[in-house]
Amino acid sequence: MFRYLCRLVGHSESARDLTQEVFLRVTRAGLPETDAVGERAWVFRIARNLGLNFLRDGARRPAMPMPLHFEGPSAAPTQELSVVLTEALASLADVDRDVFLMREVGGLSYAEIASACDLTTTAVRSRLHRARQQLREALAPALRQTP
Amino acid sequence: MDTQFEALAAWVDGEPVARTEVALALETREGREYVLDLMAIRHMVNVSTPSLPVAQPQRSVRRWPSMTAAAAAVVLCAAGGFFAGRLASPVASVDSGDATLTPVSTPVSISAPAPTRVIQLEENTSWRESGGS
Repeated sequence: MFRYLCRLVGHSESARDLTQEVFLRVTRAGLPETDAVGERAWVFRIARNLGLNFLRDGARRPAMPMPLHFEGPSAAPTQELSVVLTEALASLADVDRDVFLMREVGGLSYAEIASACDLTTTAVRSRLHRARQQLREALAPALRQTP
Repeated sequence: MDTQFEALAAWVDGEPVARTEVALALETREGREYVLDLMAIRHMVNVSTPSLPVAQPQRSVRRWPSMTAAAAAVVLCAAGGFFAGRLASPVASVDSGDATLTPVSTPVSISAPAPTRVIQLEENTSWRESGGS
């Protein structure tokens, strides 16, 4: 959840606050009576709405999320990678990016993503493919360097 | 080609997909490169996305040796200080066989150090005057 929000809003600290807010809302409202797929989708729907509200609600925030900041001995290559990836993700359509992040960072299934984003599984499948194709083109130089 | 790629993506994502569709897509070079790129993108996303630090319960276990060493050092210092003080104490050494302690009654004579400068005070001298003015 935190990692998904990190990528969605682009700020670790904001993502931390939003993660806390998500679980506060889940605790207050209680999980809906549904299966595990529905529960995860419902929690991610809350996270997505909170993240999008966060991005919409202030002009003080940049239009494109800032690259996430890393510290430590291996920070430099990770930081570079984060910058490249942030730019590539920013070039995607909003829904395509959400679908991609829910899959790759959130680990949701197609059915869960469909439920969280009000899409069909077929639409999720094609949006995921489109997002990945765009990322392949945007990240081509970095992908060639991947061991 | 897009349908084949979508099938490959679904296969990589662990979604139900027709075996023949995947097999057909993997026969092409583009299909195989697509799968490799998907894995590389996945790796990039995972590496460059931070995680929340997780509290590690074994950390308290790791602290036990250092805490024990600190406690042992405190006990050693206290015991060392006690015995050093006891050895340097002016109290007469106590016969281990005698149960009563007898304090030393002779006073310790301390001689004053020799003066390095002697000042003589003269009578009828105005001590408030400042010299030279």
